[in-house]
Amino acid sequence: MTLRSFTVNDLIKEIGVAALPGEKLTVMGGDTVRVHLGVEYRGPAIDGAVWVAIGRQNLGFAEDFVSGRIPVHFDASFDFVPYEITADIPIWDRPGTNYDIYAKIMEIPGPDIFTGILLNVIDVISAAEFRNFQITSYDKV
Amino acid sequence: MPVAADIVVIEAPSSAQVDEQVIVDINVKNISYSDQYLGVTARYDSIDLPLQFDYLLVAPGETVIFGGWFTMPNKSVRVTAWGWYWNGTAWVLDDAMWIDIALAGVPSEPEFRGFIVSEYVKR
Repeated sequence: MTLRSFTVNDLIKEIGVAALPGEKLTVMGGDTVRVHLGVEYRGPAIDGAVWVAIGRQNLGFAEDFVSGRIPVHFDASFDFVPYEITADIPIWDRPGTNYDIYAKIMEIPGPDIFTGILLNVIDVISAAEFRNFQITSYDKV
Repeated sequence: MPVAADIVVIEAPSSAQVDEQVIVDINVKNISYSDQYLGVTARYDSIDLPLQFDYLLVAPGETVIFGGWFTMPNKSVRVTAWGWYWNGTAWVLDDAMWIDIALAGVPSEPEFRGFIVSEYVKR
């Protein structure tokens, strides 16, 4: 029998730390943010792609972390059918606060479909870092 | 060109709603000058379509119907039928035909609603 020891970070990666829309999520470089999307669709069968980005909304949306293109398929249906889509966004070491999230469905007939932009919901902190760890003195007490 | 098992027509609705029973009649004519054992196999998309008969003995010039049905899935499908005749030792593929059956009631334009970020998780 093999025993495996978990660190707190291992455990967090196993179960994740979730935030609902509007809640703040703090992550570190090296983490992944898994974004869950919901949408309902009706119409002919189509293929498209989803794109999710974390960044900052100013005049435009500056994308700092992205999911990349995620292929999606929607079956033909005359009723609205719910779909859940997940997108993983790798976070690298670019500390900052109050990042925003948005997602879009693209490569479909007609214009892209956008979620609303969730403002100020992601903080990225640097990976834990120590330096100058040393014995500075030793005294008899 | 077929020599014996000529698929004359596939009778089926041009469209059907999801979960509707779709009846398919495949009309095969013996175009040879002698009695022939004729068979039909069929599929809708990549799924075998069970037919009423595996094969029939058919007189010259006679047309027979191989009937089957399937439940319409939630998408348009293509029904393909293959006609076979028995040459005394083996079944010989002789003819093929396909038709498309559209999913009825589907809006022609894609429509989305309620596209949201529902949750985001640190992993």
